[in-house]
Amino acid sequence: MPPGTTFVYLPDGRGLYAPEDVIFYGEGERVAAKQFSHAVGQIGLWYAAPALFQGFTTAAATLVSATWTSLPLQTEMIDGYDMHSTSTSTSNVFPPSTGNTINYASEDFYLVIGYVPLNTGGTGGQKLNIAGVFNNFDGVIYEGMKIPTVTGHAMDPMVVDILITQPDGSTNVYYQLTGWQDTGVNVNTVVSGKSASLTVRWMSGSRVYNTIPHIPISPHTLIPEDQLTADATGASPVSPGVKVPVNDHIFNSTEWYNATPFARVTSGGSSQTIASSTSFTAVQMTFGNFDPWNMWTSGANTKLTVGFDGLYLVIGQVGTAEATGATGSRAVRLQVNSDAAKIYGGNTSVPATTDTTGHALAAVYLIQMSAGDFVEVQYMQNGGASRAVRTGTGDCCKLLAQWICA
Amino acid sequence: MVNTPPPGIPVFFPGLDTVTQWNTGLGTQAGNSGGVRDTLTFMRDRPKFRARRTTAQTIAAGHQFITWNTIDIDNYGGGAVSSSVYTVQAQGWYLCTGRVSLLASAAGAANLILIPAIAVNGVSPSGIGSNGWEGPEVPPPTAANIPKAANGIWQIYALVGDQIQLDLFYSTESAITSTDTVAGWTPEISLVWAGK
Repeated sequence: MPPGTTFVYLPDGRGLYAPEDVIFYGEGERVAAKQFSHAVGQIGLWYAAPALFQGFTTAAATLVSATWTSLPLQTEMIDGYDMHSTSTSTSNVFPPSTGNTINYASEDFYLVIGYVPLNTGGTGGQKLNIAGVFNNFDGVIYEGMKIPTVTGHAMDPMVVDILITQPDGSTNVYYQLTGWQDTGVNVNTVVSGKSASLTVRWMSGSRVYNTIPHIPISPHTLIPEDQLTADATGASPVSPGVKVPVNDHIFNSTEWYNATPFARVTSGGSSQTIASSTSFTAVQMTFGNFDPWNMWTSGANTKLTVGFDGLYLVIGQVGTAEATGATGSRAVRLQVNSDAAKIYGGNTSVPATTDTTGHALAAVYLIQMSAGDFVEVQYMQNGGASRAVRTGTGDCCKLLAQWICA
Repeated sequence: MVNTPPPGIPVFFPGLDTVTQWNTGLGTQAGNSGGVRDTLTFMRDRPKFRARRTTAQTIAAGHQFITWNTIDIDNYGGGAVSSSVYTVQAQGWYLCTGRVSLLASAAGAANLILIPAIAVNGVSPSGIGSNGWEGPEVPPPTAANIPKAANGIWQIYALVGDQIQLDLFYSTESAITSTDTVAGWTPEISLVWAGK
């Protein structure tokens, strides 16, 4: 699905069927080639080429001071699943739903990555720029980084998150890249050398079964003497073959890739404050926004503990209140197992000096972890007074972990 | 070195050889028909790469690519020590995360900005920007002994043989001439194959 792809098909010419169900065979059940082909084709196509959109602004958009503005995306790098139009409502990106009335996958989660480069405003050096993504499913603008303008330069905050779509196959959910600034004058987005962009990529469906999940095994290499079974193992009736359980070798993978381990927890309801210090403080996550794999507990609320080996996409963001006249430095990072040798990602910044809207920084990194490892998002500020973490639905602190591969 | 294209889409035809269709696919449509085994193996063990620059790299205001001196993960053999390049071994979309940093022990400067960018074959894979697709543009702290880093994420498309690099840009307000050497804040990249 290289750039420019407008639609994708299965090898036999059928259009893509988003994963609908996890097929488990019973012993002695006939394996129909078409059904088998469809099932494994889903694995090969949907999971290896998930829904993906990437778009950019090509004409400067104007952001009115202190007003959230949805940004048009006039050009596409990729839109293989017809998520977006370049002629009408160009701000809207419609993520496909894999859910329907006959299966158990009722929700989908999409990675969103946005950048909103803004020219220096009228009071550069003092005020704030924010990148966000609006999700019309819940009506929330999920805020990303909130960083100050500086004199003589553009500023380009990032928003990165994993957001839910509407369940049950509905098609009217859309995301919008949004920007905000409060310099007191109108500010245009940058379109030379950089431009506003939004990437939307399917990451996972909701977990469909309550059984103990199976991380995919390396599939068996079949020989003519092997016997395909549903679950039975052991010697094949024909030597030197073995019984190959297709449920283990294939359909556990379908289940796994349909709902890979994922958690999104936030600081909603938190009363934590971050003391002024040059040391980092782990941020408490008080609300298990989505945690079907039980990575988070209220008793260890700074941590997401992973249950499976693998490479994880980890996203952390910390937003705090700020007082006018703010000084010092701000920094965020990810750390695994409180190990000084396992610090990842991280953005740093000066604060806005005449703004009380707050401050937010994000850290994002692909981290290899083992079952039992835990990851935290940590924050440092040395502005001379404690700062309360943000707790709103859109501007709260957050920590996410998403399994990517072994 | 492994040089394996991502497998095609598994397809089963009745009456044809099950073993081949299971293992490698019939290949009747080149690049479009993959075996169950090969497809699932590739999905599970995708190309991934992580590298760091743990010693000081001399830098100047403007653009420069980070040269890696430590490779932590490279299951397809696309990277090399003393090189800034990860050479793509399997075409497709890659999810890339990267961090650039300036020497923390040195003082920064007012209005200084720092930007990481991801480059494919030395230019921006989005077609927008010069030395790379820019990530967040941040104003790093001005005080000495405070981390000065910027961290971004991108999804990019690359062909076999394409070269992925991480670019560091900083503006002229600062006299800093080195990347950071403090463990946990050195420049680094981590990427993974993310789709056909």
